[in-house]
Amino acid sequence: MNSCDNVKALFSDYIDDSLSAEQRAQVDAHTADCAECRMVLKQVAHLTQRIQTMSAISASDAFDQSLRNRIMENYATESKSSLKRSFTFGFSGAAVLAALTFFILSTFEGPSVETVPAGISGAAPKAQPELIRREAAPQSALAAETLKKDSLKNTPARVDQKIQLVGQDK
Amino acid sequence: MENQVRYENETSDEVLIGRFQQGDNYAFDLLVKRYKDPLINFIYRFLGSQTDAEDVLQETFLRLYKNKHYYKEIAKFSTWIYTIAGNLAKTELRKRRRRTFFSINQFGGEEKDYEIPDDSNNPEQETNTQITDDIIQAAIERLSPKFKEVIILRDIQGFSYEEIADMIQVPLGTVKSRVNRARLKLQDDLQHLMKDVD
Ligand SMILES: [Zn+2]
Repeated sequence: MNSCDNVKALFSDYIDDSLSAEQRAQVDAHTADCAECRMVLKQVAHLTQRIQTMSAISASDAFDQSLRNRIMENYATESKSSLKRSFTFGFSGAAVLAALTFFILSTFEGPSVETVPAGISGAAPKAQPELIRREAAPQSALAAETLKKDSLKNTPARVDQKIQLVGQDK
Repeated sequence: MENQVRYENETSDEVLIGRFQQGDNYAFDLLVKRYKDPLINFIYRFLGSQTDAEDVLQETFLRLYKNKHYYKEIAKFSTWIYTIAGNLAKTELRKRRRRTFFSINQFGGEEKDYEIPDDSNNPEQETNTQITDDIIQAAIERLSPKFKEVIILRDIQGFSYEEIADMIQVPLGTVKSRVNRARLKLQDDLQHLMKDVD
């Protein structure tokens, strides 16, 4: 590896400002003499900054509804009733609420109906002092079984395979 | 009402997923609300199509819904959900490659119903133009998946190298060198548009 490559290997850390003083000096010394590396470093820094500030994409307005539909489709067969009961604001609550509101509005001309903002309707979270974590063994076993048959099995819970995921961040 | 807002804003992801695991679907709704925009941005950068990105995002939340018990407290929720989304996005890319391959073989490359690399931003065609977001996006899409993944996680989603190492299961040093190489590749790809960068 020539010294240009050695120096280029440090560019990311240089831009992120995470080099030791010594390494930083090494990059500075090299780029002072080498026009090629000087240009590359400038452009990498410029481009990185541009990428970091690109404007973000948002989910469309229709997203929530289609997610609801897909969840209903996927789970309707196995546990329709329990699903309906357990959904909070959005998944069945909002539809019922909308239908009801429409009904009221169209039946009685005019009286102002106080609409409940979606997401807040039936769903005030019960105050729960502390989270009691259960061993979810039976469900997990079931889920694992389902997953084996799932054509998409490669992707989900990679998390299970690894212990070093443990957040040092907590 | 204030309590409601505070609950939505201040409850950690890990508490929410815990509550969801105990059957509280409202906690799921909140996680969706919290993650849909960051995740769609993440997935979009892989695929370059809003429609496809929304499909993959839906699949991601379906996985969350279905596999909630796979989440273990030892991981940060964000790491977990990004891992799922990233894997699904890469799967989608592989599917596209297969489709492209199949279509070209089958129809002599005439079929345009599939996505092929977009060369509307062909370097040769535009020198000394402004680098737009679209040009950058196209350059990111030209990267191979392993470089694409790290550059998106690092420079677009703003994760630390340690978090990325957790997500994609490669050593920290590898993540760092991949990010560095990805940045150099992008520079190499777009350098003709940066002649006046000073
Ligand atoms: Zn040099």
